[in-house]
Amino acid sequence: MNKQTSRWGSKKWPQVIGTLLLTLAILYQLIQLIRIEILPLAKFVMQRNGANATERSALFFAGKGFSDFITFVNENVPLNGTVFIPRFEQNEIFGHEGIMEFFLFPRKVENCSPNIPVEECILNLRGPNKYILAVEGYPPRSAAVQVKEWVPFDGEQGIYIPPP
Amino acid sequence: MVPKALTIDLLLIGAIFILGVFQTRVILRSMSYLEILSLSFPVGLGTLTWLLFILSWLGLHISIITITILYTVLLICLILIRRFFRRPHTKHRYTTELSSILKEHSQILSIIPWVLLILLFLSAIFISVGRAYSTWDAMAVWSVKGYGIALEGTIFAGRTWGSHGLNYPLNLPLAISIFKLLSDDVLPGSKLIFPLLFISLIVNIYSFFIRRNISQTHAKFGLLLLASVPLLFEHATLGYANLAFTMYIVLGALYAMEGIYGNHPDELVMSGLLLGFAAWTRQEGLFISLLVVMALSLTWLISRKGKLKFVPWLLPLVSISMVWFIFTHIYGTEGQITLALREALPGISQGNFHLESIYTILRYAARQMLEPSIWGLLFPICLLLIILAGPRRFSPKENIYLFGGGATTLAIGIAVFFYYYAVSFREMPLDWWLSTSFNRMILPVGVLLGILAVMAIGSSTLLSNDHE
Repeated sequence: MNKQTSRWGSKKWPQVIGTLLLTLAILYQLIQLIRIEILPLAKFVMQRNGANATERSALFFAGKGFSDFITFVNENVPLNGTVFIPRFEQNEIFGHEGIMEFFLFPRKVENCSPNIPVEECILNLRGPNKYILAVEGYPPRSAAVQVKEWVPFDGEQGIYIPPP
Repeated sequence: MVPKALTIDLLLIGAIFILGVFQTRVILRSMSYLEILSLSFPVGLGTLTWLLFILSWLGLHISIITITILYTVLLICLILIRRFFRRPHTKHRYTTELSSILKEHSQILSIIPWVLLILLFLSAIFISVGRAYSTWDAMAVWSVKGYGIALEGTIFAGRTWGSHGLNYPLNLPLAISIFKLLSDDVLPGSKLIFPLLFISLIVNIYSFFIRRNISQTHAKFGLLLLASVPLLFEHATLGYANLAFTMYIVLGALYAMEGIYGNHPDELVMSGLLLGFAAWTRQEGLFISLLVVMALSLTWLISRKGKLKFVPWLLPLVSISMVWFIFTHIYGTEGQITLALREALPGISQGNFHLESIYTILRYAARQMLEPSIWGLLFPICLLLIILAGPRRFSPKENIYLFGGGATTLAIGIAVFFYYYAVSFREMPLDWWLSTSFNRMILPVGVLLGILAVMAIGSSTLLSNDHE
């Protein structure tokens, strides 16, 4: 029996079919991977050529508006500043301590204790190194303007900085 | 600034790789270039971060100077061990020398899989660094913890920087902190870690296939099947710890099988080291590593093939994982697994079996495994290949490696199922737990299943023509 016949013989057909299935699966997966993963991500990276790592992170994570706001906050808060952010329940992105620590590194990030009213907490934030991140619904404006100076970014977004 | 940072990052990777080369050569008496290539980076990385962790716990300030001193001392120790405790070389268990591969792949067609793999690897590197840290856990847990440690010069910075305090093992945060200290991680160069571990996994699986006499065609196709799984590729670029964990667990299991069934104590040491690093990478690592140990010990008890030597196998695993276990018990809070069990057991004992959760988990698992945009065709193809090869091949008499690998895969799969069953008793809805972590939790199951299916269909006993 020659080699070709033996391949198609009773003992070899599972391997031939198996190899064929493997080939088809690989081709399908490669096309899928290139289409849904590699091309969109590579395009994203190429389009952001020149952006620094934090900007690319922010752009990829939540888009241009978010990225511009993060750049604005980083420009307005010194490296030794502490930024007070909303609670996680109020805002799942700007209130996420870990995420905001990453974007504002090496600035410290804190939020008001849930045990005291937010207004009271804000009124206690006097001092030169304490900043308040302002987003929709946070902080209470009436309290914040008593202790900080408002620097707007866009709409309700901005930063409350210590008065000079 | 960027070219300078890139140069420093590449030098750092090279230094970790060199450390790993010496370490793997001390442990394994005979190994191929592919093994050196694939094991050195993950082994060097785990060793450096683990020792840095212990020194920091003892009060040493983490800085460029202390890292340099630690690295130099470690390298000198390894060189001295190799010089003064030189052991006779054992006969090569296999021949995967690069030259023989190049010789075998001189034909254009047989080069294509390698070209595709290299393109996939390069894409993973480009995307990983390009997208930077841009997903939840990558930013809020792994990277910012590393940056905090670099800033404060102590592992205890992990308590305040990033989410989850000191509950998560610090292998990746410490690795990231070294990049931060050396190059400020402006690229970020630390994102190279993830595609490099992906490459380590894929290349070492190839080396394993060749050692197990899988035909070249099937070995290469097996690699492409795994490397092109969308979820696996995505994790090579994400910055999560799951791929690193999968790499340590899978390679730990493969070396354990060779160590036990082939009676190679060196491989058992390597397995123990890799499984220990799995426990040093993810919270569930120790539990899964012990599960691998139990599953493979059981297969040895059933088959009595080879020799089971617990001391060389468990010594590195216990040494690495226990230090972290003690540390996290002192400074961390309760882990996810124990928390889930603590909340589930009273419910079960009161007759509240959450039977609908079993259906929910199985339905979710089936849908995800069959979703081409997540798992590609991995699960259905593996099932078909196993059916084609004949499930009998998984018996200990036919192929002990398929038997052992099958038992390990099953054990991890069942453990993951029970984890989700246990979390169904927690406050957060089961759907949330499943949607946020199920697919990445079963990454080791997917990879092991892929290896087994390719082994079943491609082993030389079935494909004698390939070796003629």
